[in-house]
Amino acid sequence: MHRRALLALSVLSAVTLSVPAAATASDATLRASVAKWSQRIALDAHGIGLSASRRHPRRMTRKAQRFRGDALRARRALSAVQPSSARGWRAKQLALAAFRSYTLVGRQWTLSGEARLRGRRLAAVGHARAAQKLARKANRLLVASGKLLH
Amino acid sequence: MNLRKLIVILAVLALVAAAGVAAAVAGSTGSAAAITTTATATTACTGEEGEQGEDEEENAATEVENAAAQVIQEALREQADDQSGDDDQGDEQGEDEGCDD
Repeated sequence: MHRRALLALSVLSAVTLSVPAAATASDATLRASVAKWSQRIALDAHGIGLSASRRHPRRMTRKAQRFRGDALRARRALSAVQPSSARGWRAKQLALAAFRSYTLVGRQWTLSGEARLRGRRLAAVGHARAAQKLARKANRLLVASGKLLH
Repeated sequence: MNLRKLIVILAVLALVAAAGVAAAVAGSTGSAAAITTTATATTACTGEEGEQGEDEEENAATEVENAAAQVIQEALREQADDQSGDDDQGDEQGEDEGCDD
């Protein structure tokens, strides 16, 4: 009887030790991944803003394409992460929605740059405004995701 | 199998599992710390003030918002583009890691 009690205690200890720690590990992985891709997106956006302010539409267009590519890669990377808590799952869904919107922002910035290069000013303005609207939505989603993870 | 041996094996397995998970947690924390360090360096490079542990998501949102405003201004501008600085290729060096446009 004493031995059985010891055996039960050992199994219980193993479960107690591993389950909460594993949950923390999965959510920490998600937090690190969202932070990494947020940083990537911030760098890309910074470059786009610089090119735009210096009247370099060709560079801006190329950077907008990169921005879109990074947003797509972020989505793929985040899809592979399996959060271990309900809060983590919600954060993941918000982050995926945010990066999806960022892909659309990148597309609109690309179209705006291309229109500018062709001298189609009205079209360039229209795409730039569409990008701003999408960017605000994406930003809200990303910040909400971050708040759940921190 | 002797029950005592089984208990010892289970206890060792529990310890190994706990150590493995702890290492995974430490790894994730290390990655996050590395990212934060890089982000701080980037912020310093752009001339903005930053703090250790700055919220990456907030920073990204701000950068995207600023970029969106800049792109609209560029689209609205009637001034001609800077053709000499807007070359088609070969201008990517140092864009991501450095501060150059």
